[in-house]
Amino acid sequence: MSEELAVETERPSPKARGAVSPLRLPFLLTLPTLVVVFVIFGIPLIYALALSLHRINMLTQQWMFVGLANYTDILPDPAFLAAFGRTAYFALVTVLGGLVLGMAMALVLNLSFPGRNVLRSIVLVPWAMAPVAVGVLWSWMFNGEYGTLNAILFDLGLIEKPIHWLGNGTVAFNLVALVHIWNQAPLATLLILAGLQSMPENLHRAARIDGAGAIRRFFSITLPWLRPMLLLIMILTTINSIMAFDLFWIMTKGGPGSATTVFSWMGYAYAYQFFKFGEGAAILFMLTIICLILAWFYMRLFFPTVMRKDVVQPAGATGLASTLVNRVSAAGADVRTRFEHIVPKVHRRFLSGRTRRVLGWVGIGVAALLIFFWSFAPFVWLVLMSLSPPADLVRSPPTMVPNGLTLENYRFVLFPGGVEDGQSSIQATRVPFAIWNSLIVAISVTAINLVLGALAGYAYARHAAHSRLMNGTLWGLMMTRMTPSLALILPFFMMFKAFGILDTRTALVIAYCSLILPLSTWMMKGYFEGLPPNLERAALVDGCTRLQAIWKVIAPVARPGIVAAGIFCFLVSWNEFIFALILTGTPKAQTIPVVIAGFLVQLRFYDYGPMFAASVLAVIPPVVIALAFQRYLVRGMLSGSLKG
Amino acid sequence: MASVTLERLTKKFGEVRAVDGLDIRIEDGELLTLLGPSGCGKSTALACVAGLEQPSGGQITFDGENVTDLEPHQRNVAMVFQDYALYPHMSVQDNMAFGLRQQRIDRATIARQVATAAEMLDLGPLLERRPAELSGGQRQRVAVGRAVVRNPAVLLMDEPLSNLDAALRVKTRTEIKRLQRDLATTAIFVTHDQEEAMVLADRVAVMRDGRLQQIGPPMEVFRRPDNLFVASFIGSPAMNFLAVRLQRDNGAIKAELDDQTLDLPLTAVGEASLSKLDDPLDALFGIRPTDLLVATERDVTLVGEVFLVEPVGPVTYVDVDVGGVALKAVVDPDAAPTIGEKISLGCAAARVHLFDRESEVRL
Repeated sequence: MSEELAVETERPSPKARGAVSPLRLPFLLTLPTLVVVFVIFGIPLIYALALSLHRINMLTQQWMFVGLANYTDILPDPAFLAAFGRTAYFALVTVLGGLVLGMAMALVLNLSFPGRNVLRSIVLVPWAMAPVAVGVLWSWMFNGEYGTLNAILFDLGLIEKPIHWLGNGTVAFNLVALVHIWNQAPLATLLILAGLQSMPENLHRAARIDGAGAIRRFFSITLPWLRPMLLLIMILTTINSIMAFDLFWIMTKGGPGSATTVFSWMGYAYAYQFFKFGEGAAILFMLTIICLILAWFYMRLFFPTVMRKDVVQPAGATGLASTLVNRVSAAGADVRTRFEHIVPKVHRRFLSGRTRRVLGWVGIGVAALLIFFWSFAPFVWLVLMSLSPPADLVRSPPTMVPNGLTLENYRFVLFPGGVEDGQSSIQATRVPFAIWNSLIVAISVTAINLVLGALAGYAYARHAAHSRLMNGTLWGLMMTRMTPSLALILPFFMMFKAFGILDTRTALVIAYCSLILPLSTWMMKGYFEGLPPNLERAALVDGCTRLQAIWKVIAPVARPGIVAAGIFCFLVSWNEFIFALILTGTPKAQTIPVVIAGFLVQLRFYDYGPMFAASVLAVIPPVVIALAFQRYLVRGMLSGSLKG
Repeated sequence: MASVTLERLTKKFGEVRAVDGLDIRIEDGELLTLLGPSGCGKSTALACVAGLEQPSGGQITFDGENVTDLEPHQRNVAMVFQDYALYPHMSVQDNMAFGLRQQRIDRATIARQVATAAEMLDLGPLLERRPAELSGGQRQRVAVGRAVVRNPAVLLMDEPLSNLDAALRVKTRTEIKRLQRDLATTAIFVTHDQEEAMVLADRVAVMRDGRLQQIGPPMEVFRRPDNLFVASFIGSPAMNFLAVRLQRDNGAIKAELDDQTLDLPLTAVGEASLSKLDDPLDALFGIRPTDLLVATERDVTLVGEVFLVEPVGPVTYVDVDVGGVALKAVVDPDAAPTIGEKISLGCAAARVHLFDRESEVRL
């Protein structure tokens, strides 16, 4: 009966006067982001997929369709299987290592002790550094002749002749893994710290009253609470590990032999060294498949059953009468006799409360010191090397003892024109302009990402749950994170060449935006989800249009989340290496990581100093930003993913 | 100031009808409370009036003008939210001035309006503060100030008192009632607290599962609930119910319980319902605790054993086991019985509510 009536009164879809329909607006907000990502990213992706289905003769430019042969041919190849094994090992070690280390650092940083906030900033330093600079720093540490590690061992009198660390395949591989962990663990720390801070204090209080000790509480309370965050970290770091490339490029180039040839390097080598684009693309797309399988596996691991909320139905039309008559409970006083009498057991502690407290403080102090040295000492060492005279760096036998410090290296790279007597190389003269390029690119990318990503993130935060279209495009966006960007470089190269913007900063900005927008959208979506929806409803009632409500109310309130996303965009685009390497050919648009890598290609001993100086200059902006905005980063990370 | 009319207002979320054919007319200057349990659609209905939700069907008019398709900022409504939704990045003053600035009112007028609202709500010393620096009660007052400062056509309030502690809630609801009388603004107040709804309202509209159950002045809804749901939802402590079997017996109605039979006058049911009682009818017998008096002779007498005594101050409630059913009755604190005592309870026939068990409608 009521069905019929309601149908009669249904209005024929009304057109709002002078206002955008509230249902169409969210889609319009996401449109710029979708266009940037799916068009600029999608065309190369399809091109790369097409490549992987063809064999291409580079001389005749002939394409031969081979179907899945590129995939099926490499599968039984022993070299492929070996690379697969190495990738798996690398991912396993770095993901677990990063997780355990990140968790340990986050737990320490969540305690309160003097200097905690400074340490929270410092712990981010390795992560803020460009992988290229990290690679330069650590390859020098492990350098077979003059390296820091050899110098320390010499100074201590432990070795007679230098050890060629990276010359041994197994050692080299594990060292790259260690450096990767050093670089990536802070991200896990940051996310876990954000998760820890959102944990209700009373959970732990309740567990303590129930008699749970610190370790019991960690496994029974903290870990389960962090589960959604851990899933996010696992997926992010697994993608980072499987796609890791910059470090291999700088530190080992896949060698010695093929000892450090992982998938990504193998795909790169096939495509860009042997010019077998089809096979290279196929290898790189295998990475995507692996990432997808792992993501699915993680989901099952962390959330074995899909949690279903059982909706308690309010007493329906038929049930009301029977619920209203209150029967007198039969239990009465005999309820007491139904409980067993339980004698409380009290565990005697081995140490007195005072001793435990003192030991606790000592433990925190030691842990804080360890974190400080682990995070900061390599950076300080990089700065020290950049201040050493070039001759000091290549002494034989190597030693740690400096012969005095100099700013000469900085003079070489910052004022290349003003050096008359110096042996300044061409590469050093490129540094100032490269920094300028990096700055322009990073700032442009950040600005575009913040505007487009914020609009899209807001629309997804408020509407993804209700609309199939919105939900679908959101997943589409996130899936682009799983594609190996290495495979897209060649199509990007050809596309930009066709438009005549190759070797320009514009090309880099466009490429980076399409790469970073999904992540910045996701980050801001998470933050917007945490804002009460009544905030913009209040603004609407107060006379704002929907766009005004976003601009005047939501954006200012969401500042921590937006700043955090902005830092991410800046760091990623400032630090990016491989796209910049291939899409820029001349110093006109080369960014600082490319120039640093250029030092390595034609390295002369007097260039070591300027190279380290350039590396320091390259890591200073991101490090300063990370240090200054650490608070925003932790707050901005508190995303909707936590609420599960 | 405006009259508001909802005609067959319907809002669906997927297949769920959150609001289902709501017909209400609110007079100019009237304060209407929308009352119902959580999930009954009252807040959704309010959001439709504000323009925050687009109705799936039906029509909303302000003073005869159809506003159904207008955006919120085109409607001249103001709203107080349950979580206040104060703009955290603005001072109290800017929060209140925001809506006026959106309308591009000149500065002098804005300053006067804000000053008036601040004086009315005693916010003067807080004007420069941010919401984070205010107590819950102060935030609530700012939220009210932000709403009234614009002198809106319709003032909407969505459970604005539910985040306050009990004492402050009672005090604030008095202030809101006085403020609304003084301003003579048409207002809709959503709440799940039946006492709040009764105290504030010119008329109460009770909702359940998206549908209007009853609308009328508070005492009418209290005295003559139209159905079982309204009877059980309004009144604190809640009404007592007994399952009975009714049958007309000459000049009286026999109400048959498990172990006793009560005699009720024919006036206990509406005239139209009398004919239903020619055959035995399953019904519920309802009596409010405040109408069920311990050890007092009235038209109807029930006998039972006391199993709990609850002093609340002015009166004491006693829980009595009457044939296995728990009934709450009222007694003077000085005459309170003790647990285990056998007592009789009396009530006036005029205060007895009888409902058809099947249809849940008042007989």
